[in-house]
Amino acid sequence: MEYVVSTKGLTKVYGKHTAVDNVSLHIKRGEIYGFIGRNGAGKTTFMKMLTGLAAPTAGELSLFGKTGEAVKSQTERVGNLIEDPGLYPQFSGYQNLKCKCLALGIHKEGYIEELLAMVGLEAAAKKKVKKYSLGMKQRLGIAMALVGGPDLLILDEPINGLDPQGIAEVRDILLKLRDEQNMTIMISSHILEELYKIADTFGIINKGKLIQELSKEELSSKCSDYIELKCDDTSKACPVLDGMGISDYKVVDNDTIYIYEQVDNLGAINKALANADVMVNLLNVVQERLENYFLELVGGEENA
Amino acid sequence: MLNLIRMNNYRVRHMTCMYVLVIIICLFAVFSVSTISAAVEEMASGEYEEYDGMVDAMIAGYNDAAIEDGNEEGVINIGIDAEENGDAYKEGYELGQEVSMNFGIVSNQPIQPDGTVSSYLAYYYEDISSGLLLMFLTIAVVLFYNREQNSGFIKNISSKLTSRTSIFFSKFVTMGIYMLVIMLITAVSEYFALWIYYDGNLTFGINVLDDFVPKFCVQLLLHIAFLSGVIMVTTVTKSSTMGITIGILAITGFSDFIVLIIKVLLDFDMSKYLIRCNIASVNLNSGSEVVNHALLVGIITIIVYNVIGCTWFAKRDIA
Repeated sequence: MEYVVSTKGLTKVYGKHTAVDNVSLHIKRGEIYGFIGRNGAGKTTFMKMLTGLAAPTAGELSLFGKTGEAVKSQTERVGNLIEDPGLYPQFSGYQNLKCKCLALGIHKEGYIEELLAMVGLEAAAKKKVKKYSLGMKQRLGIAMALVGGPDLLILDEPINGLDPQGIAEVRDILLKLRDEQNMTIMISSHILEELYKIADTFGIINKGKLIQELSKEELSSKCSDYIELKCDDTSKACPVLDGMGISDYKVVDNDTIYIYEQVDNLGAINKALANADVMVNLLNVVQERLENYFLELVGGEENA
Repeated sequence: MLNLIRMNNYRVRHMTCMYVLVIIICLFAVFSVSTISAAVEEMASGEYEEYDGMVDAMIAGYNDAAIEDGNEEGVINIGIDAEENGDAYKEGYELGQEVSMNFGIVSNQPIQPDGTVSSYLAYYYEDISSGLLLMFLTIAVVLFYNREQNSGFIKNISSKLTSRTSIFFSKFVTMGIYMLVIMLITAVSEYFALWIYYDGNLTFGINVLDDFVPKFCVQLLLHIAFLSGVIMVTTVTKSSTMGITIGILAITGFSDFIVLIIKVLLDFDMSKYLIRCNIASVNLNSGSEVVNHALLVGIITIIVYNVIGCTWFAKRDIA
């Protein structure tokens, strides 16, 4: 398997605080990698290390198959938008892009206009960035990250501040970049449902540690629908479920059972329970949400 | 590297505050000419006793110099805090004597007692050797340098470059170009101000051109060396306030306290190796020994500050 990014025990320590703790993560070529974690989980620090903005305290980083000192020469293939877009407020959107193009030696005619059009800012090209809305700044930040046509794009919360239409536009841009240019994209976001729509692989980080790395299919199976059954006596209900060939269920408490299979078979389950003289108080299909799964994984109770 | 210099020059050309600075410097040049001209007029008419404070110091400077030199041409000192004859500072240094402490910015203008300027180039040279330009440029350079950090723009370019030292060094080169441009703008402003004031009766001073050009180059180098130090301090401390404060304190002679303490404690005269002292010591009459010494100090200082700045910048986390 060819990995664009591969880390082994990557660690970053600031004073006594370990921001990223022994993270081993893998990003395949041409995929969108969703990076999930709460505020302060270590997402941004990890992304900074990938882009060369911060040096790892320990561990190994491999970019495009290169390790050690050779990684430095590969960071030029990485575009980033980390924390905030990093723009000169007194300059216009055009001038900000011009600065980056000059720094990278890009003098192609119409290149800046092309980038501005891609993120829908062609009409605001001459407007000063300090007069941009938060969403416009985010979009310009994405355009800045795309200067030079990077092979790997690292975006930290790029849809922050965008309205639903803006989010949809950014989603389309990212999908287009992946599908048409085979660009590898790592993206973190708090809007997990949005991330779920575009990412192929997910990494979940908590307190600096990568606690799970899973594909979209794996996540889908974990976030699938289930039946919530509330009855008078779960000890009487369980043999009925067993008798129906249902084995994937969980007894939550004395009167509640979660059933993870035969979700479309509500009527038959209800009839079987009634025949066994089990009083059904509630029988309902529940849609497991990504947020719930995430909170369960990272310890949602800590948020309370 | 060349691309980064292009980017920096683009920024300079499109930053409003840089144009504001140019206007301030032009106005200051005109103000400087009109102030000293007014003082000279009064002095020529024998009414200088009426002045006090700064102008008294100027007159004292003129009298002392005239008495000491025993010639017709006097020296007028103007400055923010001209406590004593600034010429003693220079001459003392040139002769290898102990250098007196001299706080503030001092400009020694070669104006003759009849109120005429001995030559434009001499006038201009004395103005730049006062270090006054550094006051403005320190602020401009720190603002220019730190804006890239504060805005976060640095994140956009640093990951794209194999060597981060080029980011620091490109700013040094840009600053040198900007320094030269500002010096030339000052030259033009002062020329027109003097030309208007003296109704066109102004000697360009072509006879001092041979002395002027090499010494102007040395001054430029020393000014760049000073600003390298300011950038280095700003880089290390990551603070605009610190960069500006230390820069201005150094220009106005605060470092002389340190020189004095070292002199008393270690019996070592450090002033010879300070950029500010060298800027003041190289005048149009300076011999090659003084000029070469200043040149060496300037080059070494630039190398040291840039090595420290580049190393620090390359090692630390950008964000």
